[in-house]
Amino acid sequence: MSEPAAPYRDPPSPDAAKPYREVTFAGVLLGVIVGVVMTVSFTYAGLKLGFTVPASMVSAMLGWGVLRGLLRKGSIVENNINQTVAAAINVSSAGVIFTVPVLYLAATERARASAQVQAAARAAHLTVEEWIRAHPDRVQTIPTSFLMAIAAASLAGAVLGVLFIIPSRKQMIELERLVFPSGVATAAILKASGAGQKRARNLVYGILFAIAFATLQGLPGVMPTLPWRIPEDLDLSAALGIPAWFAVTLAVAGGLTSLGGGYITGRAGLVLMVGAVIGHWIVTPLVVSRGWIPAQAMANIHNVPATVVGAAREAAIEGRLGSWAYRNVTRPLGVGMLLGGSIASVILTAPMLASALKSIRQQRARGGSSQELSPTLMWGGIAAGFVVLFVAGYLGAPEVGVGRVMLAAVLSTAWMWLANIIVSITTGKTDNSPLSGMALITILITLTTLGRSAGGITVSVLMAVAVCVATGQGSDMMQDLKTGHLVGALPRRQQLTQLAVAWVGPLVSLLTLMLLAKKFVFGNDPLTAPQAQAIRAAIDIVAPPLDADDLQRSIAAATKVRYLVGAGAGLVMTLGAGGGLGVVLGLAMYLPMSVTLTYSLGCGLAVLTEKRFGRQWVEDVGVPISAGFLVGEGLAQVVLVGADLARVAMASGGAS
Amino acid sequence: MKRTVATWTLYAGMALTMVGGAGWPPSFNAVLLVGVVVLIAGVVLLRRAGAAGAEGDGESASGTIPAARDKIPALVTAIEGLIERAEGARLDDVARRPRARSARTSTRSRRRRRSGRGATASRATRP
Repeated sequence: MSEPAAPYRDPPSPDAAKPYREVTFAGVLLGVIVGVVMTVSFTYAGLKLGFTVPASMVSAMLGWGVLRGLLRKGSIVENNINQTVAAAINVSSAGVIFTVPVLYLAATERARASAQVQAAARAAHLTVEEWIRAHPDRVQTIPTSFLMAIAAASLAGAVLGVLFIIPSRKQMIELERLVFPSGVATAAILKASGAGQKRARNLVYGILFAIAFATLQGLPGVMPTLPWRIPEDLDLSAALGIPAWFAVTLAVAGGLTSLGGGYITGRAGLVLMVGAVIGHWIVTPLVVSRGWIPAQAMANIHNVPATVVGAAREAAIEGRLGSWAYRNVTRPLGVGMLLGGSIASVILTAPMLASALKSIRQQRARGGSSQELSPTLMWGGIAAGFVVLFVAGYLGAPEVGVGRVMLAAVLSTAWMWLANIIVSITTGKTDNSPLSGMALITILITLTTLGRSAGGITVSVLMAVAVCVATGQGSDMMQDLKTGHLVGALPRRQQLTQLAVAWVGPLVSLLTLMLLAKKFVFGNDPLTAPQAQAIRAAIDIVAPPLDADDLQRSIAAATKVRYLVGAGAGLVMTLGAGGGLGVVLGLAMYLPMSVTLTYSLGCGLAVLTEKRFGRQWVEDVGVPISAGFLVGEGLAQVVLVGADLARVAMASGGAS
Repeated sequence: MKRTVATWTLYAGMALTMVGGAGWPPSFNAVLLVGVVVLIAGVVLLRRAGAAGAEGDGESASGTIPAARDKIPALVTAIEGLIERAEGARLDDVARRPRARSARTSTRSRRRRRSGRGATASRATRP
């Protein structure tokens, strides 16, 4: 007869006494490095394409490569802190690139209307646009004090965005159990250590290839003595024997960004090609062939230097005709569609408003939790953030007056809180977050409060910067908390970590933007800044510019009609067909053909490789390499711009 | 078939609307009117075909990203599966409980499960 079994006791585990690795120096440092690199890269990519890739998944992949692969000690929750930090830093780039270029676009608009610029362009036998593109540093001038105000507004937005959303965690994640698809996908990567390391390797290969490619293409611009030249675009129109205004062009500079973006989006991105065909192969050729161009503009287009003769002269005029039609007809229609689509997206989120208000009521009834940040710290942070936002508004336009700036700051902060919850619920349910729509509403609220003066517009844009950064931070915090919930992280640690690094992103993105503004004119290829153009269009409709000549006034009037036509189409398509169709097609009409065609090529490649090698191959190899293209090329482009500016500064220093 | 016709009607409506809005001097002309009518017809057909919202964008935290809406049912199922698996074995549960030493199939594990201890501990969620 056997003895009765002794009660089971677990043997003591060697790790039982040790706390598991979570908030470690290595994890946070890696997150900061990855976050900063991605912010620099995605500021470039976002200005070029109108979207970026969420940092969470890329940093989670890299985290496995570095923490487990190189340091041999990473844990799931440590890698979760790494991705929380990286995403917290990178997410602000969206808020900055959607709104801040509005101010640069306004500066360019002023230059376009200036008699000096027009005279300089005539003297150089250039159109005004060509002259402006050649002199970005003389056109996009924003005072340093004002840049400080932008930085303060974006910092206030980053901190307020995190603090406003913290009380909603329990409600949205534990009680309502919102899906947050990206947060769940990141948790899946965090748990798949083996696949994570393989993806990390492919990501690094993609980054290295993109850096090499971009350097090869861009280095002759920095070192003119180098013997090779690679064009920025591959113009197939000439090779096919068709006029230059019928654009068939592939992007070379920034081409891997477009290709990678298309690959990551896959089949769904092919719909962009429909908008591009309508814009570039129907509308633009029709405008040129029917001569829908005002006489004075036609005269400027034909002002080609006398030295350019024969076929070259014809090609130059064809190019200018296409450029005029694209800039003044196709693009305003596309911007209008973006605007209408954004407004429709906000209308479609209206049911979320009821959810947001319900969520707030239930949070109040429930009280706090020991897992969350302390309420004292939270309210203190909110008060400090509000003060910084008010100071930013006042520094931006003191002529508006303390009382009105205070009113704008109060309204914007209240709207920011509500918008944050709406965007988080939308993200939680659908993975979409209508950031630029929220920025648009902020501008309309503040413009109504402050009036249509130049100061009023300035303060409105500053408040929109804060709201856009805040809503981005809020939805990212919630995605990260969902990921943390799934991998067993402590919410308070994640919240504190996000709060500690949230200020880094806006500064890095703003500095990158300022650097790029010295080399490129926003709103033009390669940095087209679509969302900022849509916001600028809304401002133009509400508060039209006053200082313009006859031609510009007539073009502005026509542009307004096109905005309205596009907005109507965007509203009907998005409200009727759903899914943000108006935004996508508007974006396709707005972006240059080189970007859309290369992007569509990426989408086609994704479809082909999935058919040939299967879905797993696409996820493990194709997508990480494509994400690497975005990170690597953006980073290399920004470094090249920095090197070029340093070269010019050294040359002028040597000359003086 | 219905969906394809509806989608292309929508695109044709958009093209006509855009051409109508492109004229110089700008005017609200007949082409624009026809375009708007065709556009609305496309929307109505699309809704009748039950395909509204089937494709489009997601303006994600980082911008306007066209998203594969037609893949969403499969995505939601996959996500629900992941959530169920993850929530069944959360790390804080693991941290609070003594670690299960042996594999799931071992006699001790089976005995423990019968006695109701350590049922949620899983290797998969251990950091």
